Amino acid sequence: MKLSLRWLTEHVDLAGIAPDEIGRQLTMKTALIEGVLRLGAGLEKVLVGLVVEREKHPNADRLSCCKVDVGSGTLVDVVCGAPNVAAGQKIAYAPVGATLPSGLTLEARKIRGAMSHGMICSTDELGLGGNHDGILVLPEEAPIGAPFREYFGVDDVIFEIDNKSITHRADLWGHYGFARELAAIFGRELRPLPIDATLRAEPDGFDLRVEDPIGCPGYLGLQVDLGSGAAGIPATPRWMARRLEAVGMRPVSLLVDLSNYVMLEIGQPTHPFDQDRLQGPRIVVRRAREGEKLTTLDGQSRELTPEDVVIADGERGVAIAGVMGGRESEVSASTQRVFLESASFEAARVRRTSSRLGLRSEAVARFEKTLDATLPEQAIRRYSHLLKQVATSAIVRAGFAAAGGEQARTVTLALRPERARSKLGMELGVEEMAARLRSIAFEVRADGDRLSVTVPAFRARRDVTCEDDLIEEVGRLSGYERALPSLPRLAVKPAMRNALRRIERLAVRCLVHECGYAETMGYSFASDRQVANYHVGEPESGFVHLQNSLTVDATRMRRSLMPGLLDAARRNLVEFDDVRLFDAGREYLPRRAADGVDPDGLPVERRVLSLLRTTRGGGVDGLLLTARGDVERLLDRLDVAWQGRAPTTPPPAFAHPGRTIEIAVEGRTVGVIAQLHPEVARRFEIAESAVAAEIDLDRIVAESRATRRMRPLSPFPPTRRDLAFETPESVAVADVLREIREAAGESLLELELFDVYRGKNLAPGHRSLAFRLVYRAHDRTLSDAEIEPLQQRIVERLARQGLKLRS
Amino acid sequence: MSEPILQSIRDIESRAHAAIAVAVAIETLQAIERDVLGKTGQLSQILRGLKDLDDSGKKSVGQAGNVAKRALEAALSQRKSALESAVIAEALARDRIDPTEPAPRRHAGHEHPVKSVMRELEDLFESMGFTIVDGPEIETDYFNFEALNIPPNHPARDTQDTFYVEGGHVLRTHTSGLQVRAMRKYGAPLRVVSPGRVFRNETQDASHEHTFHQLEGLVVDEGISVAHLKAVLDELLERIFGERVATRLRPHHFPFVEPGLELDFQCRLCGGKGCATCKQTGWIELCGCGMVHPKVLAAGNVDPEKFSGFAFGLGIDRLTMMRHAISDIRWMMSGDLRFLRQF
Repeated sequence: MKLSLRWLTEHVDLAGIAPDEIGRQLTMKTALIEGVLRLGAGLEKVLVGLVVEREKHPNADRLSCCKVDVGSGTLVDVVCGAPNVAAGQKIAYAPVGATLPSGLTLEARKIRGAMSHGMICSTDELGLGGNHDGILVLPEEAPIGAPFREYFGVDDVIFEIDNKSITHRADLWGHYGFARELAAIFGRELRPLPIDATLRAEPDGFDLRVEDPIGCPGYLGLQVDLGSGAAGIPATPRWMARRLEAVGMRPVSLLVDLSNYVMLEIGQPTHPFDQDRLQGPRIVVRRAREGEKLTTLDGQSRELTPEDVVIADGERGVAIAGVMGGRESEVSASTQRVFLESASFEAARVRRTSSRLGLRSEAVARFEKTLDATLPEQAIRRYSHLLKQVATSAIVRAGFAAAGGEQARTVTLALRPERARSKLGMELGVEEMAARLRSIAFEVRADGDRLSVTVPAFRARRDVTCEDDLIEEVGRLSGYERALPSLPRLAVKPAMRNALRRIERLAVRCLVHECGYAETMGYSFASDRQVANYHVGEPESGFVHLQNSLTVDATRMRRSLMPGLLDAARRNLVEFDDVRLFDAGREYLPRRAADGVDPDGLPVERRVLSLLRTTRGGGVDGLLLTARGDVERLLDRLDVAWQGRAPTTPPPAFAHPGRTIEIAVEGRTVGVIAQLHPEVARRFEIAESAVAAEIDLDRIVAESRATRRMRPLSPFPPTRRDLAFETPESVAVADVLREIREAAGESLLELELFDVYRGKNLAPGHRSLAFRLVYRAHDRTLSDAEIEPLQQRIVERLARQGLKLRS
Repeated sequence: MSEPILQSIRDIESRAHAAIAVAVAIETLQAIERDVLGKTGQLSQILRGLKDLDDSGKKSVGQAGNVAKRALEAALSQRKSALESAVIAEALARDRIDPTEPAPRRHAGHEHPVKSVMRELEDLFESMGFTIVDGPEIETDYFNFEALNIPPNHPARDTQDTFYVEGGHVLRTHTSGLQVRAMRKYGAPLRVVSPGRVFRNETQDASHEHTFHQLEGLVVDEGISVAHLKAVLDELLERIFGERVATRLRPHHFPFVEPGLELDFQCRLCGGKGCATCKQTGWIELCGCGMVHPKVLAAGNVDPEKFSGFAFGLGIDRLTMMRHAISDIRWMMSGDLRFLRQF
């Protein structure tokens, strides 16, 4: 919302206060000012002039040579290029030396042989917007030689308000409310709003009925006879048009402009109907009928529901209450009688109608805030006051129609000064608190050790309803800079550890710093395409669905991080040969009976770490083992004792079923490492070898041990032996390792598979497994005589499994 | 009798000294040592013949032999270290590198910048005794709105802002829902922060994302005030920027705090004079904050008469963008290594 300083100063004297200071104080005490804009900057030297003579330029068809009277006693020669310049016009003249808003500084110069001293300006050149087609022609009565800026009303300052900071303040949706704030901030007097006191609430031959008193608690109608013909509606006075323009509202016609002016001044929207186009004349405020259609002022046909409130005449709907008027009853240049609506509408209904129709208006922005019940009457009195000033021939009927009779409500609240001081952390006396509240029209009286505060009607609806709301008023008007920072004195109570966070940190240390992965974050959504390519055959009931997604990229909540990683990997492979990504995030699944009951009925959120590794041109076998090594390192860091095994449950979609390593902790599956399923690779267009893993972090949190125990170290030297076996492919490494350990007993301290070989000199269907064994005792140096029988036992035992010792 | 032997000792010694003096390789010195002083060397053989001499001969020859031996040992060692020094000096004169030649590239990993800022903030708050709590990202209407004094039909609930899922639940639009959850779980007094992902159903552009990150902070205790809030946020900024930063509190409306505030810090690019970054105001908005509304305390089963509290909600993405001069928020969720590898 924009505020005009000129407009504000009509209601409060701000003489001697710089506009920037006004902006700063409003920001610090009332609402964020996003900008302070000086209108008419650069127009200081521009004067009102009269074109006394105009002749065609001797050397150029499109130029004119003009003699301009600017009140200096001598006529000025100006060459003008506008097609519409003519003798007898009052114009805006920029003299030599003036610097216009565009930055152009005028000089005396010859144009095609004729001297030109200055310029006759268009609205564009004056920085007032509009077009460049022709010069601005001023009314005949404009005084020659007058400063243009003042005459035209553009010596104004505009404050731009952040609307989000006044959503709770219905009273600030007009200039008068801000004038009240400024009066309080600067200790100035707020002038009473000039209104027409002669109006009376007396139905004057107008049939008005409110059939939906909840949707419309109060409805007033003012009737105005304008007369017909040339004596009818005059133009909007320039000062009013300039103010409307200055705050971003386009002047249309007097009746509409007055309505907008009142709204921008006190925050109450009103609507003028052409009374002769209302059937009856009658106004009925009712719920819309299902499917009822109405064409709004913007020419759109709107279909309504009983949820909406409509203003109807004797026959049909003529306006959507609080949202927008109808086209058929719109006022026009030929309007002779006006019915001005000024009403209260239920905020929630107006909002719902507006958002269902996708139709925002200035009226909606105000009605949805819940307006003061005294405003409708103030609005018609103000409208009448202004109209009588501007259009002396208009006859305003003294009796206005009224229905509903909503009562204005004030609220009286107790304020404990001690609570205010304690919450604000400010040194504030009771007298000061009372004075602050009185400055914004709150009534305050002492009540024992408390203050009894009556909140005025214009703040009491939704805004100030409890003691802490009063504390805010005291705080902001006193200035929060008076709350001197001091750290709270709190108990020395250590923070509780967040186990998941510890695991994430270790994952970063291991995967990022040791294994070279980039940490990435994917959206929590699954796109239609991802679902089609990844979750093949998954029923829709397997997803948590979004009900109001904007795009096909976000129709469901993701139930796997993998599609996001696959898409990221594909994009990155365009530029990188080695892509390593991991994402620790959540998967969202509909709650099943097996998941247990959530007290709030929320879906299941699983915390998962997923990683993906792909290399251009590399072999997949090596990559799979490398990725397994990455996961192994991570789980070791987390002190999780785990085994890799063949899948015991159906592997996830990304996994090649024959090349999947299931990660088991204490027999429970906590994750999977696998070569990318060729079908998934094809669908996601990943042509390179790729390996991925998924780890259930919630399970890891449960399994991760906090501490390691040191194993005693032996002072005696170790003995190392290597053994290689020709091993059938059908025998798993894990089984061989177990056999060796069992055969060797406790002297075998370390056992490691250090080489796997496939190729020449091996029987078909066999590979060579080479192990390094480290023997060591705690009480003596082991002799060969002690070790040899152990080695022999290993060889014999493995031979029974079909493993042949290689020499 | 011993004179010819003494003479041969002198001869051996002088020949050896001459050879040592001209030796230019360590190997030559080793050969001389072996030939003269070694087990079967010339001098050793002579000394081994001592047993055939009489006592005076033994004495004079032994003495002369040992003197010669020590002199040769000294000469050898001296020459050896001279030669070694020469080798080192030569290497020093010769060996040069190109100090600008880069190391072979190692495949490095990268922490996500948003997560890294988040972790830094977690560390800071943990050091001040705040517990890090997590909550559901799919949240009930109650915790996301109603418990926070955002009744039905409040503008903050506009359908264009909130993602709705089945069952009437929402994707949390802020981390503030944790306020009531944490109060109910842990009671008062309480110090928690809750960082995490939040969602707004908005069209994306350079400064708007439908998915972004916040860190909610909440302190509930007896006598907590606006002055405490300001001090804690001042500490936060000092940690982020490494030095004290001027701040200001100004009024703003959030339904779940009263008074509702926003904290601005002085623009560090222009020092408060006004520039494009701070939109000529000299100040940059850091976060919404305020004193927890009595209704919110009550919803958390905390007595608003006994306890008060402050809460704040930091936008992590914006803070990260400011720190690293990232101009487009959409990079954050892009998964693009060209972006990620810069951090």
